[in-house]
Amino acid sequence: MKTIKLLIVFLFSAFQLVPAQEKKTDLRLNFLVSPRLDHFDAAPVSFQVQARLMQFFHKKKMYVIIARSSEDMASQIIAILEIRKAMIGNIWFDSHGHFTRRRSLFEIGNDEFNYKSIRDSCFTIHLKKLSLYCDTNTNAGIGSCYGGATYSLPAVEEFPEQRMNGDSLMIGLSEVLNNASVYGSESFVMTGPGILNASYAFSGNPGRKKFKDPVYEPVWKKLGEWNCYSGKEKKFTETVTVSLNQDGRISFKHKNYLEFEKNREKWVKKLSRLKRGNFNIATLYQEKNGPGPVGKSK
Amino acid sequence: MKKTICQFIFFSLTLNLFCQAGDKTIKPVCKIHITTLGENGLRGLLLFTNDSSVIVYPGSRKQWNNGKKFNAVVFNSIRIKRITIKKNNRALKGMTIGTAVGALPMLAGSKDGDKSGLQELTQLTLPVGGLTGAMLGLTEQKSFYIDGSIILFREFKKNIK
Repeated sequence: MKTIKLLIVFLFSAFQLVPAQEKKTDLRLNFLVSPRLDHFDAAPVSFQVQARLMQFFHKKKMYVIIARSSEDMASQIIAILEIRKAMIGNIWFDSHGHFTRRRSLFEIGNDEFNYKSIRDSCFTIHLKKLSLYCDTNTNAGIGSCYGGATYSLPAVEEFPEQRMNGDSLMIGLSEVLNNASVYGSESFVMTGPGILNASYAFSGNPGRKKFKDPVYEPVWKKLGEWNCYSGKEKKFTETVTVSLNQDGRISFKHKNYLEFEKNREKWVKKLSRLKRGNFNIATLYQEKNGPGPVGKSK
Repeated sequence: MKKTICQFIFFSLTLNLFCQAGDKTIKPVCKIHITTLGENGLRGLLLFTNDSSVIVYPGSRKQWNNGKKFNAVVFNSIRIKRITIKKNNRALKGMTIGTAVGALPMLAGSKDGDKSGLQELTQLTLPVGGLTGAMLGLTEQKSFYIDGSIILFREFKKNIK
């Protein structure tokens, strides 16, 4: 009798010690994550409108998540996945990139993820909850400008040369999401019409004067280039221009954006016309006095 | 003795008030655009000038009014190539001067007997003068070439006052 009791206790404790593993199901869902903002911002609004419109036609495959923080996002996604008993197929983080912070980053609501904060287990605790629903077949896209930038920004006045560390961010995100494949852009990510139409809508460049400064030269040189980190193979692979399908799947174009002659001509023209003084370096001083690389952005 | 105590209290009180007022009364002098020797541009609000440097708020007037806090940037004259300033309320000043000039025909008419023609003319010159003045005021800016020279910087400082 005592032996049976011991056996039951042993089995029960062994059952308790089994680590949480990813849930194996065939169904895969796609998520587009966009920030909920207090003020009007044209870029996320444009993304959200287009995503909502496409969600209407792909209700079973695609979900648009508008979140205030990573905690909010994780709870919304997990609720859907638990109901549908599914895994994450593709997840796209729509966000602004902040050039003046001089590092690659993406934001989920108010939470900023960069090469340092992605390594902070306390900060990524909510993002980590999604790892149960991810595996090596999951694709994650960083939809912010310079999200996967690997170059160094040139020194400006009293600001020294600084590496963007987008590759570290991508590796970190892949590790958080259970070795998923991560895509990040070296350059600008646009939100023009047709972003969910497998087109080149993510490619291109903004027209504002401030971007036409030699400070942005490394960004211009890598226009339309994307990086991919494969969590399965643990290495970076070259990818051509990334796009989103109608159901939120991350896909690739066969031709790079700059392989089109028309785009290339425009690009060469703009690259030769970069003029110092167009960029206001006061914005660098604003960020210098703001919060550091770890922690919340606002 | 009573007089001394009263004087001491009065001075200590007024000194304290001046300190408080001093903190609250920092107001941006004008909009400033600094071109550095490396041809980089810094746009902000000029807070005040030292003997050899300018202290700038690195934000816009809207951000200042909203109470957005940024640390002031100290820019030494040896790093400055050119300074361009735009003074406050220049559109309003321009409009006032323009309107005054536009009203001149009316003043001239008051001395003469016949006013009807001049009144019609004033109806046209008054808004035109005001608008032109406002436009000129908006576009008005003063540029100072410093080129890293302390002497030229002192010239600029005199003009600010």
